[in-house]
Amino acid sequence: MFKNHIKLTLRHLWRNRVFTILNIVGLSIGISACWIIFQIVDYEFRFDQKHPDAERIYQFINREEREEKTADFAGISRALPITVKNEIAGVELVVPVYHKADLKASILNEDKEEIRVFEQPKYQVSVSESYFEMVPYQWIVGNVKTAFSSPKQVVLTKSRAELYFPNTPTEELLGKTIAYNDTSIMSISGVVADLDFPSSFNSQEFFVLTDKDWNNDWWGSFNSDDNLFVKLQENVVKENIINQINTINYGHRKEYIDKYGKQWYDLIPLADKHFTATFGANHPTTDHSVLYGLIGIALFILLLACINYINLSTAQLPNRAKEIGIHKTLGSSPSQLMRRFLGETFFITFFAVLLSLIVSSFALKMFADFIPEGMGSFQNYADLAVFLLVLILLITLLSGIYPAWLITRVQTANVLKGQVQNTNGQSRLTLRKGLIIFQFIIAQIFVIAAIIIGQQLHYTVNKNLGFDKEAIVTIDLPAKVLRNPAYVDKKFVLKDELVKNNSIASVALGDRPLDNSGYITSVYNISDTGKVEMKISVRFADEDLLDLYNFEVLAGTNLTKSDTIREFIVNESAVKAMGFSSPKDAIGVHLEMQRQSYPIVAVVKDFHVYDFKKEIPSTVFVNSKRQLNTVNIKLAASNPKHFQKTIGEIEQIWKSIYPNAAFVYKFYDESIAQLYESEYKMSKLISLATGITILISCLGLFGLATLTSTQRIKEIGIRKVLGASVVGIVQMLSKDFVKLVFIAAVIASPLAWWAMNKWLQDFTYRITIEWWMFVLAGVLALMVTLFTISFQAVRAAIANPVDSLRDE
Amino acid sequence: MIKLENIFKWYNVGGTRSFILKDINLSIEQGDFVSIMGPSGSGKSTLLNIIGMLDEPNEGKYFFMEEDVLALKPKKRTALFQSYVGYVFQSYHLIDELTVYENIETPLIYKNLSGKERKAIVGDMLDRFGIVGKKDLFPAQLSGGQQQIVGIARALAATPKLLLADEPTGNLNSKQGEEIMDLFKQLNEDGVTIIQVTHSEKNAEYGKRIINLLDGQIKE
Repeated sequence: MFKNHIKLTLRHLWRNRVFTILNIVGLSIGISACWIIFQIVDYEFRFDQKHPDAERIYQFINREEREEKTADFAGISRALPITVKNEIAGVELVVPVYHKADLKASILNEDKEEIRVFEQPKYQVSVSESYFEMVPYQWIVGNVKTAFSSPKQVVLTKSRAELYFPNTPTEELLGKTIAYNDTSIMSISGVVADLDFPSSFNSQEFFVLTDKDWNNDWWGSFNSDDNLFVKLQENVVKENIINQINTINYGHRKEYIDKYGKQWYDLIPLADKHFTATFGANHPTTDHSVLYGLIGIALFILLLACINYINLSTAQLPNRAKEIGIHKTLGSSPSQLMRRFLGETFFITFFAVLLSLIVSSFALKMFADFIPEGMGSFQNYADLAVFLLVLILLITLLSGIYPAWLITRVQTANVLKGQVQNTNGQSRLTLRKGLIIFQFIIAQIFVIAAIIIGQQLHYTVNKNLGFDKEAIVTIDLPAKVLRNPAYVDKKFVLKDELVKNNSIASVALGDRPLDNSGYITSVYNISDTGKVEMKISVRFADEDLLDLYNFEVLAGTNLTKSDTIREFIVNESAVKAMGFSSPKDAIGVHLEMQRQSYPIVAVVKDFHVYDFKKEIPSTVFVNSKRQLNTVNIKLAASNPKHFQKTIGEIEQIWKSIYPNAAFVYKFYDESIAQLYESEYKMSKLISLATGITILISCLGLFGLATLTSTQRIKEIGIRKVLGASVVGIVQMLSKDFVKLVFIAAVIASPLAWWAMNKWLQDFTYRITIEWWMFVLAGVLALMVTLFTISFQAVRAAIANPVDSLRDE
Repeated sequence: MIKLENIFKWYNVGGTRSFILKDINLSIEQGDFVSIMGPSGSGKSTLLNIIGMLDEPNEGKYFFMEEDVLALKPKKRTALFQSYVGYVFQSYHLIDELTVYENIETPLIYKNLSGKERKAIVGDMLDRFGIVGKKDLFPAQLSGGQQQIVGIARALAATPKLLLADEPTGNLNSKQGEEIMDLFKQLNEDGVTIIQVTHSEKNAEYGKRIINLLDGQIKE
């Protein structure tokens, strides 16, 4: 019986493959979104759950209240750990965690030569033994006692060890050495296995906390990199601890607190840590509202997908009415019919889940930027399986019940007489139209947003910045090169060497003209009436920089070669700020900077000093030998194909001058584009949302088109017999849908305009929103609509009326 | 007016041909009133559909007003059909969403007549069939006989030379049926050629000529 049932269901699904595929695709979009979001939410909520005694672990946080403003952060005074350890009762473990600022790690071989360099390894901390008593690490080699016996030792996690020493068995790592920042050499004293659950304690490289770190009494000095955790003894209330420490703290900081305002310590439980971004400077955090927002989105998409399923399956109902009628005359009870239909829904959902496993694995790769780091490493397969099972059952019931109920309402006698009844009356059609309009409003808002964001990004890339940015490579000189007296003037040697190369058009030292970082200072314009202060952005440049970037000089001459600042070149904005009407008037004027007075020798046309969110400030170019920290290279070739070869040559020259410094170059146009990274990210997300909503809307639309053309098949037949043309019929059927899209466009446009106008306010330099953007979105929606419904409309229009009008 | 030569119509069912019409030869003069009779499945409706150009034979020749219909382009065929043929159905096939008036008007719209002309013709039709008072009603508000009268009025609105009727009284009671048949007779006397398919001997008698179909063949 059951086997027979499955066979019949599969056969039915196969016979209606178009609808089956539509249903599977539609549901799988919803399921994929749910699936990915579930993984994210599940991962985030499992954070720190598996810590032994988690309920007794707390983080110390630092609170301050001044002039009715509170400021909270995670940095504590380094005097705190020793005090808590020695003077506070009720604390089992004191765990200071001092984060390091990404020490460069060089792996050395037996002859102390660098074999591998890691410029910015993250997750380095200084801790004491207590850390390993609180966090349940398994030691693969070494143990807590020996690992912390000497300050020149370091403990690695297994994954970090594999990064530093690929292909070396873990057992052989004890005693291997790593050089940090080229100066301090540490030997590996232990390797621990990575935690097998998501944890706020995500450090990978552990140094020994020195006695100097412990014995500190700077109560007034805080650094957000210095964190303190404690594990309380059983049955100790945290208020007790807080009171004790704050009494001591007040004793040390009485003067400050009485004069400026309150400053005290507080404890947050480990369970809250992951969800408190304020105290998470060095730990992964998230926000409850983000997670609940994601859950909301998942439910919303799932609901849309279910409604689509209902839409599509009720649309099919008239076609199935006869089959259902026959089943009924053969003695099938309503509950049997319902079960049969729910069985179908179950199968479709099941296939949709299978498809969504594929879809979501692609999506996870494509949208890796939006997925929390490390999520993949802690899959809880039991949870996921339960979730999928619940999801399948939920969708089956949610989207199957209503159509199943409708099926039982089919009037047998009428159906068998050949009269297809209107099981889907006018009211239900209106409901469905409402849904389609709603979907299209959402889709159109997204389309308009995507167009406007795209236009703004296009504008940022293509607007004239006031200088050329093509075919320019920039290299920041590493700090160690600049600090080392032996290397300090080698940058001029480098420049001379580079200029000799034929593939290089020109070379200049100095700051990138457009860069969000930079140095701002005050200059004074001294005139008869007094001293006027003016804030000015400073760009250091040598005598070749203006030419290299092809700045337009409005008046005056270029900078001359110089060891120290001798003269200024200002931009138009500075000229205006000083009150001159013409650039020429500013030439020769003296400005005072850091108590020295320099003449303005030239004025350049305004150019973008910062990204488009900031206004062009008053800017000055100065030449100071010590401050030229970036090499700018203009490549001669105009064809990007030749760039790589030239860069290879540049690297050769670089290595011959700075044998120990890494060669890190960037194309300047790419660096500029990177300033808008978050906008690109947003644009990607919007495009994704657009795709999903359009796809889901189209599925719904297709269902509605099928339904109407089935319902109107008799009418279409009559009209054809009366002489209507195919084109005329298609037009008639399309008209209704065009109306829906039009209504959606009318509602969506002002909403989108409002939202995007708000978004554009972030940019000082922005596009204006124009009418054609809305029209384009509308036309796109219209084209998608017509394309979607044309299949059904044309099919209905070319059908032979003899078939639809047959009476017997 | 109509000349059918060696018309064959078949369906392929599982590799063998199942004949609906077999070697039909038939000519119908203008002004004739032909009744096609025969049992269910004898091919009556198919024959009517072929004459009405709703269906095509698999083999044979069909001349309508001296034109070789099967050689015509679809557009031309539609034009020919529009100007000469009107169709009446057993189950009326009125458009449910349109009023009586609009139902009658529909074929005129497809013939691209102006609003004024349409108004005149529809008014004329409503008058002629005595349904002026019903012009704003929807089909569902009419009895079967009234619906069929609207169906005939609609078929005649475009002033066809040929009226094709597929069981026009099939869904009606005998009194309504008689009224319709009297109407047909009247129309025929006014010069409209009529071909009707019917089961009823009595209705067939209204015709000037009866063609009996059995298993796709004409039995004189």
